[in-house]
Order: sequence, then C-alpha cells, then structure tokens
Amino acid sequence: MSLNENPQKLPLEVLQEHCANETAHYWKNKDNNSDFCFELFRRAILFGDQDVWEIIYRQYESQVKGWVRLHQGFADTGENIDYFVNRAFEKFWGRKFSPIEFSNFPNLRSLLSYLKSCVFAVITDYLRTLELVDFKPIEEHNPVAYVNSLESIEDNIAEQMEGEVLWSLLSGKMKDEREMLVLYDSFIYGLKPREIYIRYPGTFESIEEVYRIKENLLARLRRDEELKKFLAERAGELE
Amino acid sequence: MTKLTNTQLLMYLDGEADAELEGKIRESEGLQKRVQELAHLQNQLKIPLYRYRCPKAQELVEYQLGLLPGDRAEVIVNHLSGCPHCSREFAELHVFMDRETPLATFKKLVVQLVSGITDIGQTRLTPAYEVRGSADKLLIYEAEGIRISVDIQDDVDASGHKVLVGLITGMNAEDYSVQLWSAKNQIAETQIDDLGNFLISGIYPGEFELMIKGPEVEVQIQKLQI
Repeated sequence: MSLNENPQKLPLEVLQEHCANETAHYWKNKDNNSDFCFELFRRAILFGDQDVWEIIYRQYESQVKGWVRLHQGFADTGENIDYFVNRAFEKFWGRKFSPIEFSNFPNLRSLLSYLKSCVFAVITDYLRTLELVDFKPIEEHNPVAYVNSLESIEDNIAEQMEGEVLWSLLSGKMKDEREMLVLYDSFIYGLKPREIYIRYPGTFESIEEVYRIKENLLARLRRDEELKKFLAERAGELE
Repeated sequence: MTKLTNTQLLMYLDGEADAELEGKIRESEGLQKRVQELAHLQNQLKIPLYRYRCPKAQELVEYQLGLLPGDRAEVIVNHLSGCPHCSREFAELHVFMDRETPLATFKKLVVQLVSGITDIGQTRLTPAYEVRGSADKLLIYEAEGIRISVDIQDDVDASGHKVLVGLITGMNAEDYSVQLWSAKNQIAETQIDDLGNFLISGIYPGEFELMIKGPEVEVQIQKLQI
C-alpha cells in the first residue's frame, strides 16, 4: 500500500500500521508522514469510534506516561501513572469536539499537544482536590475516597452552586470592602492574613489588622442564624 | 485561666504564634477547644468556598491553546489576573507544555541580560537569549526556568490608560524592582512582593521596555506593547 494514498480512504488496520511505522520513523529522526496518525484522531474525534480510540491509546500510551512523569506535581498525587494516563485519554475523548472545533487542529502535533494538555489538566485537578482534603475533619482524612467521591460529579455544577449560595449569603453580611476582601481571600483563595496583607499594599495597616478583621467577621458569622441553618442543612445532606 | 483573643488563636492556627503563645495554648485544654472550634468554623466555610470560582484546569489549558471562544477567554483572563492559584497553575502549564510540542504560535521576543552574571538555581544565564511570549493580553516570557507573566488591563481609575499586572516565578524576586521605560525615560518603578507580583498603573499606551532589576541580575524585556 502506497504512502501517497489518501489516508481518509484507507481501512483502519492499514491506517494503524502506517501510523505505527511513521511514528517509529519520527522517533528515529527519519523522514516521516504524520497524516496517518492524524487521520486516526480525525476518525476517533469526529465519528466517536471507540475502536479507533483504542488504537490511539495503544499507539500513544507510552508517550502519555512520559508526560505524566513530566508533570511537577505528579509525585505529590500518590497515584500511579496508569491512573492519569487513563484519565487523560478519557478527558480527550470526553471532550467531543465539533467539526468546526476540530478545524483548530491543523496537524498531528496540535492534537498531541492537546493530549498532553489533558495530562496537565487531570493531574492539576487531582492536586486541587487533594488541597480540599486538608479542610476536612481529621477523622475524615481519606484522600483517595474523597477524590473518588468528587470524580463522580466532576462535571456537575452542584459544587459551584453551593459555593455561590454560601458566598452570596456571607457577602451580604460584610460591613465594608475590607471585610469583603478578607472574607474572599481567606476562604475562596485560602490565604492567610500575612498573604492578604502583602497582596494589597496600603489597604491594611498591619498583618495584625487583617487578623482583627478576620476575627470580627468570624465572630459575627458564628452567631449568625442564617449561616448556622445553612451549615446544618449542608451537614445533613452530606450524612 | 489564660485570656487570649481569637486573633491570637487564629495566628496559632496559621503557624504565626511565637513560642510563648504556643506554649500557653498547648497547656490549656480550654484554649485548645477554642482553637478547634475556630478551625472547624473556618473549614466549614472553606470546603464549599475554596476555589469554587476557579475554572477547571481543562479550561485553563484550552485557553492557553487558544481553543476557548472569545467571551470565555475574557473570563479566564480576568480570573487569572486575580487568582493566585490559577495564575500559578497557568505558569506551570506553560513550563509543562513548552518542554515539548507547543501548539500555540508564539511571538518571539528577546530578553537580554544587561548586566551581572549569576547562577539562578543551577543554571547560568547567557548574555542574550530568546524567550517565547503569546501575542494576546497575557504575555509570557521565559528563559532558563524564570517566567515573567505580564497582563495588560484597562486602568479603571484613569480612562484611556492601562494597568500592567506582572508575576515572576522561578526565582526569588523579593529584592527586585521593576522599571518601565519609554524612549530612554523611566516612566515608573515598583517593587516585587514576596509572591512575585508587581503592578504598574496609569500607563498611557505605547511601546515600552520593562526592566527587572535585582542584586544579581537584570532582565530587560524590549518592545513591550501596552
């Protein structure tokens, strides 16, 4: 079979073979043609063909493993490489690009960049979730269980809605802009008063002042019936 | 019974307490109970609120790859200018992606080492080297592990003027200052905070040079369009 043939007309098994051969040439710094691998991605993305995705997985699995190792936060996750390899491929094929969106990918290199970016995304989201575990009571410290529980609702907006409801409840109770700033940066960004003081030069007289503002707003919130009700309902839902 | 304020207890929780305060709290069951109550309240608020407005990492990468529609990209730009976590992740993303196969078409810019020869980490900088920067509002400059993000925004306090919001990662920039020059005139100078952030406001649009000056190294970003 000639390499000059239109890849879009080739049967899948031929395409697979050419892609593997041309990839091998690429790694050996020989002349190579990436059109066959590109065509595999095109069929997988535009037609959602699971068989093609499996070929792509086998073809690029080792490369994706390398990218997982490359992520500077990978070691902090405590997870194994295969977990993130699978999640990265899932992220890619779950994205379901439209034909117009697919036109943003002019070549194989751009598609592989996207696959690589999926590696970054899944590890980064995992690390974000691990940060949340630190806020859980010590008896509930179970990072793996917690991450898994959130994975099932990853694309759900429920978490975001809950945050928005709580924020609108809290922000309405702030007395001035500085309280609002301390509230926002303390709980939405998780910053300490020292960091808040540095972040807004000239806004606060001292780190101690940021602490006093935080103390006052926490004291007020602790007495607040509306917040008590919200937190009690939330605790009830989680049980 | 030791009388302590909640501010002192909050400082203890943040690891900001001195040895004497720590000792008092450790010795008192009552104080420990108050500390736990404060920690519990804070965590009850943090769990639903922490980073709830942050875009998923996938959106950050699609923004970096130029795949987001304009309105959503605008939201991400605004978010990046304020969120310390996402701006850090975004800088990490650039490092990660640039190690191989960058998709975006980067505008080539030049950063020159104008004086001083130093080791930063284990890496010796060369007198002149190329860096990459995107052509959008958020410009990224990098070389030898040092990353300088420059975000240009409208100055809400001065119509027609701009604000330059910067972030330096990959080096300890605490003792560094930032100068903005136009046609050999210094327009502004500011300090870099210990998180690597700097800000210059009230800039009338034009072409500038950005100088980052420190005890060991000076970095010059030429032809910065604001």
